[in-house]
Amino acid sequence: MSGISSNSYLPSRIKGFGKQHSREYGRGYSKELTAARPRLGWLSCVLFAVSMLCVFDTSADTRNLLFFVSKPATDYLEVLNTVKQGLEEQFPGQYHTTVEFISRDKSSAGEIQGEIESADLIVTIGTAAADTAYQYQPNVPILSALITESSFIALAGKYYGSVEQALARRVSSISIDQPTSRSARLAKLLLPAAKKVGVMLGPSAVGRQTELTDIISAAGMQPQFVRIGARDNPIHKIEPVLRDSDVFIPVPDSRLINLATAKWILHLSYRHKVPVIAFSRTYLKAGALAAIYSSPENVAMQTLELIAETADSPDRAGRAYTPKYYSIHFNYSVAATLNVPLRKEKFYRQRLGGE
Amino acid sequence: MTQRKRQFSSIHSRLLITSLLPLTLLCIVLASYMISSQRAVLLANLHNTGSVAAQQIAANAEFALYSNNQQMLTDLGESVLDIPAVNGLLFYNASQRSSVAIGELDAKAVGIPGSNEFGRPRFVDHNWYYYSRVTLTPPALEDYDEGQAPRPEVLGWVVVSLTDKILEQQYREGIFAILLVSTLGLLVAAWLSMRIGRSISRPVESLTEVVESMEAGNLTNLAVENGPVEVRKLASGINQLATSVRQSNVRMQSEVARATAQLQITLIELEEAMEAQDQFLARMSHELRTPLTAVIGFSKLLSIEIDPAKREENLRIIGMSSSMLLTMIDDILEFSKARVGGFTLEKISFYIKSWIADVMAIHRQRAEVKGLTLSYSIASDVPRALVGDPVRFTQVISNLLSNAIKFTDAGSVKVDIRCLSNIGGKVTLECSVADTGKGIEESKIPTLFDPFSQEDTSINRRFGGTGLGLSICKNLVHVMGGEITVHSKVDEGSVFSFTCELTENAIPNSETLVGASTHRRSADQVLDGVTILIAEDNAFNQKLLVRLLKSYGASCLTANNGQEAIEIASKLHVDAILMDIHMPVIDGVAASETIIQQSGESPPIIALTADVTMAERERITKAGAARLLLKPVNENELINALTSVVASYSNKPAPKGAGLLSTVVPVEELKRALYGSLDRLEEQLRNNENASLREIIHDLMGLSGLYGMTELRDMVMAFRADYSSLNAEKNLIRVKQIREHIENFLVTEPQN
Repeated sequence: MSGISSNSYLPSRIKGFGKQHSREYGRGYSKELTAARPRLGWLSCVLFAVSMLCVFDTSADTRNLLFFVSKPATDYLEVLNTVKQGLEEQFPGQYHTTVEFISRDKSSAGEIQGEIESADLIVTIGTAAADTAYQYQPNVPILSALITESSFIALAGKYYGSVEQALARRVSSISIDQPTSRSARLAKLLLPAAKKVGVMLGPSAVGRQTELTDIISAAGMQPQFVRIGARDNPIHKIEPVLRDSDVFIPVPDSRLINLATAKWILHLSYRHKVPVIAFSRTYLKAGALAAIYSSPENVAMQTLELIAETADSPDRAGRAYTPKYYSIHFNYSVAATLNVPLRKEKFYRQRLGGE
Repeated sequence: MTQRKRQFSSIHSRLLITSLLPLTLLCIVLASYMISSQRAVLLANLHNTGSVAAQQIAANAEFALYSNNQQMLTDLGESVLDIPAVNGLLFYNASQRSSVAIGELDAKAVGIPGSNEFGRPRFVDHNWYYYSRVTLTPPALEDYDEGQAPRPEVLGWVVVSLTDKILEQQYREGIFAILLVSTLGLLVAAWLSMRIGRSISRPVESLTEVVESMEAGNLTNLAVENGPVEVRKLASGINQLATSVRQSNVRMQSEVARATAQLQITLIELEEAMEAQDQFLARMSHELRTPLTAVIGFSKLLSIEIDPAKREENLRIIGMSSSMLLTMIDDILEFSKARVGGFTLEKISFYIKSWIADVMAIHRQRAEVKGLTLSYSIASDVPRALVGDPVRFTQVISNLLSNAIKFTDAGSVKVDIRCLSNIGGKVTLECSVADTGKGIEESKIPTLFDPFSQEDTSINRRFGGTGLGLSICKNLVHVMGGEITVHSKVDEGSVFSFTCELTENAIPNSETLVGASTHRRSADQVLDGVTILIAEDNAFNQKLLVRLLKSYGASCLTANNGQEAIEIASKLHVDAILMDIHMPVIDGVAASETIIQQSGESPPIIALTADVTMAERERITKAGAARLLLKPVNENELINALTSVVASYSNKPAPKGAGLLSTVVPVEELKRALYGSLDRLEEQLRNNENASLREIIHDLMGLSGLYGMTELRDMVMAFRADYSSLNAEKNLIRVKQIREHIENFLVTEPQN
């Protein structure tokens, strides 16, 4: 793993809610999500006013934060501890935190129910944590972190009927899936000569083909899409596209699609010497050239910012946030094999912009 | 067979066997183990190769099977065929259908995928089949994946076939290599064993050769001290032993040589002794025959002789010859006595002067016959009375005197007695007998005292005698605690000296003192009134004894055997019994026992025997005999013994002091005779008439000798020797001294 370097961008000071994130989020989601935007804006104005009042009225009170954590794994604890530490440092004495690990709390539903009722804000870390919190459908804002877009959409539909309804019930999410535009721009930066970009589209992303075409075209490249269904032989589908591409970008999809295709994408990448721009550090380790992803620090920082915002506007409707921060890692062995020259990461970050 | 056994029993062979046998066994065991383990290793390697090949192929066949890319499978399979022993490969897809087969592989032998046996290596017809499942395990590529791990998906199977021909070939090569190495190892070990064994056995064999050489008598060969420490020590020990044996041999040889020389000397001495004995026997034969011939011859002459003077002369010769015979036999008996049990000394008080005078008197006649001067002197420090055995003491002097007179033709023989020491009554006397005879050659002196030895056999021819006298003297002197020596010069004479230890009698009791005159008693008075039973089967001896004892006044009874003696002793009173031991019917010992047991106070018994062994003496003493006398009977001993035992038996004092002088001839008559002679002698001296002097002196000597007046005799002899050289006055003085002596003697000697 020595060939992989990390470059987490951490802001020196947490700022207010960024609109560009929400917009991008809106672009990354389905059309239904995009259509609901004006109604949400109005509602948010109302909620903002109410929350401001509430904040004004309760500014002197300590807010109760209830953390739901999927499992006590390293990444999850890192997110949790970073958030808690940030709260302690930036808002000393203003937040009272309670942490519930899913695996433990399943047997004490009554106690969780009590904690939910007394909480001012629920923060879920991980998919399972969000699943648990959504089950109770509490009348308090929920902020779900460390969750993929597909998982959030699935859970929102499962417990609230739809994403919109979940948002209306003050359920917000911070996706870990980096925008495809970043991957496309990074691919162009890494391989300036690349013209054809192979893009795998799973069932969840099929609807985004046009959007993705624009994005990739904007990056100066021509997309070649390959659609993968659950019953398809990935090799037979991917190989012709990948063989004919200069670089390949798998768009994150459901876990089933990701598992079924990743192995063969990397295998064919190795066979045909086509670099892959991955969406996770694990993907990178498995054989991708580069990965642009959300690290636990990135997630924690954005979560901390949104906790403050949500606490200030508790009645505001929820939002599906795209990741504000990102990390870039390279697999230098693969780069050497594919003869891809790499510059310093700072160079790419400057070109990519963002935080 | 024996040679083979010897070969195997040698130390070299045993060392070889000891080292090689376990080594060979070890090699066999090791080779067996290595061969078996090599087969196991080869088989394990084959299994490992097959399994690994199958697993690797399975791992690489994932993509090809998933994509059903048969070309890729073929390429993959053919790449495996490069592995030695792999001779075939077969891919099955997920539907258990044979997808691709490569190489020589019997699809029927592979088995059906999914069966129970499928998956384990199978061995069919010299081929091993290895199986591996091809699975697809999707990798988790999401960073925060919370889903279940995906289940592996079976894509198909791979079967790899390996032939065992290579294994068998390797196995054979391995066996060959092991056997080769084992054989080489054994050969090296055998060579080393032989070298080492030889380094041990060679020194031992060398030692063996040395020992065998030593056994053969060659003790100069030394063992080489090399080889192991123990062998070196052994060699050193053998060398030391050989040296020791060699030295011992030398010592033994010298001892044998010395012993041989000693034996030769002893042999020479023995031969000399045998020669001396032979000469002695010849001499004795001659000496005994001579007087016997005289006795026999003169006895015959006596029977036919009528002339009384000649008859008397014949009788004198017969008596003299008999005395000679008796003396010889006495000598032999004395010598025999000394040889068998030594002499036993009596301890009685005696006047030494009296005993010496008697001895001188005995020999004076012989000396006078030869014209020799016989004299004696007793030093003043010699005690007058001593305690000892006077008989043995005077016997020595008598023997020496006899020899001196015998070997002296002219001159004198003198006896000197002096006291060497007198410490607390223990007196050591030195007696010497000096003569002016022919002397003895110095070379003869060492053997002079040996028995059967005389200076020269020619001497014997000339002087007669047994040759035992000096030997007897030497024994007697030793018994008396002294030594006898001789100093002699040829033609000048000899001096025989001896020492003896006696005890001084500080308070002499005249009653207990034994004088020489005691021996001379009147023959018809000593045993007067004494009845003596003579038990003797020999009629001649019987008559002799009767006559002898009757001459001493005894009454005699006779018995011809023991039985008669017992009867007479039980019926008649007898004062003493002379009992011959060897008699018919009942012998003397049994008869003595019976007589002593029969009567409460049995008469004393004097046993007579010619047997002088210790056993005989013991027998007789046990039987109760009071005395034991040896035959032929010495008259004096017999009378003394009889008077002694009769006196003690009858409790009357033994007749004593009854000298011949007072019993045979009245004193006054003797005085008259002596004085008459002395008167005539004085008259002759005064008148210087020497014509009849010798006759008168001879008469005086005869009278004094006849009546035992030894001192008187000595004085007369001294006078005879000197009178011619003295004047008449001195001669008269000496005659006067003789007269005074006679007066004193006849007055001081007790009269009966």
